Amino acid sequence: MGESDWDLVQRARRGDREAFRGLVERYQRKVTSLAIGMLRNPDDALDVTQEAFAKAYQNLARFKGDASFYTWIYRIALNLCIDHQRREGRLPQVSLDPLDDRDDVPRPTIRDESVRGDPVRRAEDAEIRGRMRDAIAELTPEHRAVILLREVEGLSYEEISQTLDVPKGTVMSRLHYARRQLQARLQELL
Amino acid sequence: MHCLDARSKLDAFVDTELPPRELVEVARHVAECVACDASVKQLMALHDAVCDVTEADASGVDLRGVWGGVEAAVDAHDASRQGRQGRQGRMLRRLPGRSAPLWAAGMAMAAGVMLFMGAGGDPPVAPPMIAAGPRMPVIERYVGVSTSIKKDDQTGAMLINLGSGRLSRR
Amino acid sequence: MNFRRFALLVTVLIVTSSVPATSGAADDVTVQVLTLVGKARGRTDPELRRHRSRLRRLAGFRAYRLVSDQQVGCRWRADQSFRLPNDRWLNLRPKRLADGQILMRVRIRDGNEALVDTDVRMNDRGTLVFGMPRDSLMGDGALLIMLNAGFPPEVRR
Repeated sequence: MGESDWDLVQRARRGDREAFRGLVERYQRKVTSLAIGMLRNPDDALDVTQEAFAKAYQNLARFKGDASFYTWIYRIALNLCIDHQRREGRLPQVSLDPLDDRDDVPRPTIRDESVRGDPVRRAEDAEIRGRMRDAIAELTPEHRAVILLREVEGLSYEEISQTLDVPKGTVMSRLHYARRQLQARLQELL
Repeated sequence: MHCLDARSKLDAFVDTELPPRELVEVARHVAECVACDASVKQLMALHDAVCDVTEADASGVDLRGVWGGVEAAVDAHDASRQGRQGRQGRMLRRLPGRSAPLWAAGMAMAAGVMLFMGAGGDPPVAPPMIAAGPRMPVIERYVGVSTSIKKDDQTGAMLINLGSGRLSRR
Repeated sequence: MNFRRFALLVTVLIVTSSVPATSGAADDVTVQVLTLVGKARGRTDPELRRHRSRLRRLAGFRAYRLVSDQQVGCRWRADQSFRLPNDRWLNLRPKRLADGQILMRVRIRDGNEALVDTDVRMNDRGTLVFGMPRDSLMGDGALLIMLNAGFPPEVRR
């Protein structure tokens, strides 16, 4: 089962480098996956992963344990992703105005069956994947973050709220908006 | 439950974030309402599609070098925090008081011998007093093509660009 | 020889023998020379993962490929030469310790032309990168020479 995150943090604070390495190896894949979702570039994502853990090490003394280690490291990584994108000048130009929540907005019908082995369907799936990537990339970093934390990392609303340091209500409204954006963006494919 | 009511809760329903009583009410409504049922299916399909594309992008990423990069930053942080300046050379022991004149004469003789021996040759190299931590290289003398220099304060590394113009376009 | 003179002689011998003339390690300095190609696109070789952040901040390329990795131990004032792509040579001479840093002469030659001749001081585990002049062989990339200098572990202790 292994040591708890908190025990590893305590040992790392006392100078046990192997304990900190344990934390890195425990969460590097999750953090990298999140960073890839935010940045879309694996090399940039690996850079952010390294920097996030380096920053976590420098600030171990400030980690109080009131939030879990992984929400803490996610927050560091997400802030680094946003900083990275600001530096690169790649923030998407998307309005933050919410979509109208009316009944007559066409509802997308995403195919939910998966087909294996058919090259034509695989090509179609590849196209859908590409369009999904583009659609996720067009979200603002704040909306992209909630989608990734919820859909990919499986965090609860409360955990997302702690990670992003925003109220739970904000998490819910951003999630709702982001989902509607993605559905609207992908509707022509389906 | 009214459809408008249920629709406002479908995200939380799919995310299992509703309190138990509301969860049951919404579930009952979804079972009876074609539109809301379709919405739930679409939310779940969206979840699958987002996971699919993220996993595809993350699969095959080589994480082997991550700890190495983290460790380099950890080294730099520890070194600058501890303020390591290296080891001192060996110290001579404190001399007993009675023998001080004898030892003092011996030291003077030794210094004279060393000065004599050292006059014509290379100076002896003391055990290194090592500077560590993120300290920038220092150029003491430079002869060559015109160059530009870039510094990374975070890790104390320096780039000397021997070509003309910027190395890369960002 | 009376006792006092004998004691003085012994004292001199003890004191002079206790001052080290040279380092006891087989090598005084270790130097690693990485030859890399920086590219605008593509993946970074796994061996260079730990350097990518730093290289990105310095050189700006997104991807780095390793051409060669050479590591040698050197004595003070001994020359070490490294062959570089396109008939270039890197010559290093660790001179001495200066202000806690390794003072090293670095020369890069392109055929008969000296591109650079510099004296540079580097920390233990310090890094210095040279960006080479562009040439058509590299396409949209650039050749980089990364020097990592340091003390052998037994000296660093």
